[in-house]
Amino acid sequence: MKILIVDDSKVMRAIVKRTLRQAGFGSHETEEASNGAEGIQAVAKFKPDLVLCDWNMPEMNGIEFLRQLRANGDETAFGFVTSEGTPEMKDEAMGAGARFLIVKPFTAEDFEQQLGPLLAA
Amino acid sequence: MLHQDQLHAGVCAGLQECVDTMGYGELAIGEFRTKPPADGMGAYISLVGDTESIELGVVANHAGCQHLAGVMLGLEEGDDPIPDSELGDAMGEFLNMLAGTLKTQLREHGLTVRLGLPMFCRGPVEVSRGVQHRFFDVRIGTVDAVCVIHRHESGEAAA
Repeated sequence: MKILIVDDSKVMRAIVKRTLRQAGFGSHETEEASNGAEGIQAVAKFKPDLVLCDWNMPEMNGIEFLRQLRANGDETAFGFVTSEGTPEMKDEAMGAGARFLIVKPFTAEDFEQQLGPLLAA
Repeated sequence: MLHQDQLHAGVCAGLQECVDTMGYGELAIGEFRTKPPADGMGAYISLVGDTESIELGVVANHAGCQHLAGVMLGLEEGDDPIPDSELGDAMGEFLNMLAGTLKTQLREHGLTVRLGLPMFCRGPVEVSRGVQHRFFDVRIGTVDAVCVIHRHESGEAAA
């Protein structure tokens, strides 16, 4: 399967990839984008099965990115990986069409739990 | 309004969560300082709300920042050090995570804040008027650092 990782931090993208490996998902192909605007282009080109996206990013943040995808009719599975995990943000994320919201700092077990059902499908 | 001691406790709890989750080892909270660190480098992030505006920072020396970033990236003994161009990014992410935990705690006190984007600075921290400051030593694993909390006076809690 193909996973698109969207985060303005190159370091965080590397940490997400490392955690994917630790969670046993290292065999999946990954691509990266550094903000929502790049993410829109990457989804069109790479056609991922899953998007893992930060929330706060310059140019286009994560929730704007998700809303744009859904407005375009794109139903790609989408999950947030963000430092902000308030109930309001979770509600906003789910309301916009996200499948999950993982809060930083996260563990491999967090990834196993949230991504496992999606990547096993 | 949040009392300064409650804010300090929240930051310490957030540091503990980050240390535990990312595997830094032990966290030791040290003494308060009367002055900011004279040198070093650090990352800062803003938490801005209607009644609270906070700037949170962690400052260490170059080797300390390298170690903090290296643990985040899972680097091992003998691996190449992180390029300086990415060190700020890594430290920014550390503050991002710390601020996220603090945001959740502030919410439990009825305070809603938004996080800014983190930034990385080299050099001494200068204090400014109209802002409350708190500096305290922390030891994150093997790294000695200083935690910086700036708070706009409009957010001052009753003593």
